[in-house]
Amino acid sequence: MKDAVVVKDVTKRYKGFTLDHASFRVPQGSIVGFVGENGAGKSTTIRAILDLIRLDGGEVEVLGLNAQERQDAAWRENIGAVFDTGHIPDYLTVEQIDRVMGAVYRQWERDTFQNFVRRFSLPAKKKYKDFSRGMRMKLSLAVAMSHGARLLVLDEATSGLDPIVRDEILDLFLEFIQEEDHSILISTHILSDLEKAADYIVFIHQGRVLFEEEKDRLLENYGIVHCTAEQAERLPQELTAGRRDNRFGTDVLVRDRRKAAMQFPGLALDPASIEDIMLYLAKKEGRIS
Amino acid sequence: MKGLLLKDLYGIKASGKAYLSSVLIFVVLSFALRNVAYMGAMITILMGSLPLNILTGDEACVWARYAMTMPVKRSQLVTVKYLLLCLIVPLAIAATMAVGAVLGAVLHTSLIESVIIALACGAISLFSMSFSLMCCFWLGTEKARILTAVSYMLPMFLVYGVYFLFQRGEIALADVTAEQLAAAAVLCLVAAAVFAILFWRISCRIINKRDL
Repeated sequence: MKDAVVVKDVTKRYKGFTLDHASFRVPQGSIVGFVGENGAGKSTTIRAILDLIRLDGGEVEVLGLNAQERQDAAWRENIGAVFDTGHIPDYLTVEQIDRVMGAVYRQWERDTFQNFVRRFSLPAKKKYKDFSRGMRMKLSLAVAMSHGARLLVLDEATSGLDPIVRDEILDLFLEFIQEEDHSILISTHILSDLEKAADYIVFIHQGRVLFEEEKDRLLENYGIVHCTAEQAERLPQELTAGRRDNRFGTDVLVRDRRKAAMQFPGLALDPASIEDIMLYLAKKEGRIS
Repeated sequence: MKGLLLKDLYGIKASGKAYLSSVLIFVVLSFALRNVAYMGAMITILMGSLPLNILTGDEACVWARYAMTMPVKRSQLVTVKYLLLCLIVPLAIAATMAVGAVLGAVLHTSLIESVIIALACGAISLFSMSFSLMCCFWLGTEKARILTAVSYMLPMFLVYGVYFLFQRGEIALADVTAEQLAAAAVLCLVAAAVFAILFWRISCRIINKRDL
């Protein structure tokens, strides 16, 4: 399978934060959820992918092009980016954005854009500053998806949106991904969105990528064992991925819940959600092997 | 580039009414004060500050980051602002000349005085605004405010310096002909254009190295 994005050992140092040898892939034709707490390095990684920052180490390959091959700005015809705050000037109207983008993109599809505008009920003459957050996101998505982009990069695009708008947008992603050469990288901390739409999950914590895994495999394999502290100690190290002690006992995140059930048949075991996995791993503050 | 310019022109259109009202107020004030130079300075400063205001708006919404996800070069983000300045300054000069001519007819001042004022103000505006743009690309609009103010001081100090030298050299300004002053104003405009090109080149270098 080809990769739409390959992030390899990407390092970026800021005062007080380091994106530390981040590595993961976005397979072509898939939706990859990029999760992590605020300040974990999601936006920095996305900016690295979009060539917005200079790297201190590592390399990024996007749509088969390395950094050298991306010197010519024309390659960006093939990507669509949506940021959490939109980044569109307040004074522009939908009509004006249509004209501006028509002049920016060679592949601008005016009909597609107008279809999105109608579908999202976006007022053509209203200024961007008067749009609600949901409308702003829809407009940004309409722009991102109206110039034949093969890769969508979305940085917290669904944050702050109500569930109905989020659902609409997720449906749009699923439509977009129907084309086999289309891919989406979406950073979010709304994990329920990813459970609905994502094919892969990449988890970043304190500047380090802790894992990249198929979502279904994560949900299928990981589990939470409810036991006593003594029982938790007996669980093999290679099986445990995280642990939380509380006054009623101990909860242990296990990497293979079937194996755990077979080895310790008496223990109470529940499937783990992506949120559980993220919380346990973040708490452990370590890398899973 | 065309798209970026179009976006900026929409920005100017959005603030056009406010600008036009301000210009009209200064024109009325100039009539009241019977002062062509005042009006010329205000029109060119106001119009020249348009690209800077657009840049401030861009920075507020982090437009550069978004624009760099489009098929646009980093240097084009800079070039479009200088291009806008180059379009606006001649317009400001023309407007100052036109209003100055009307004002001159009413106040019985010479036309050449309006021309000299318009060219000199255009030169100051071109120098100051291109310097300010460079400072904004370098430090960001917020931090560059002091330098922006300084950019207007520099030509003013220069003018006072020349005036001071004239006085020390006991050259009476009355000895300088209007034609000589007009030629000096044209030279100032050419010098400002050379500086603008220099500041544009430096701005391109700055943005090429900057994280967005």
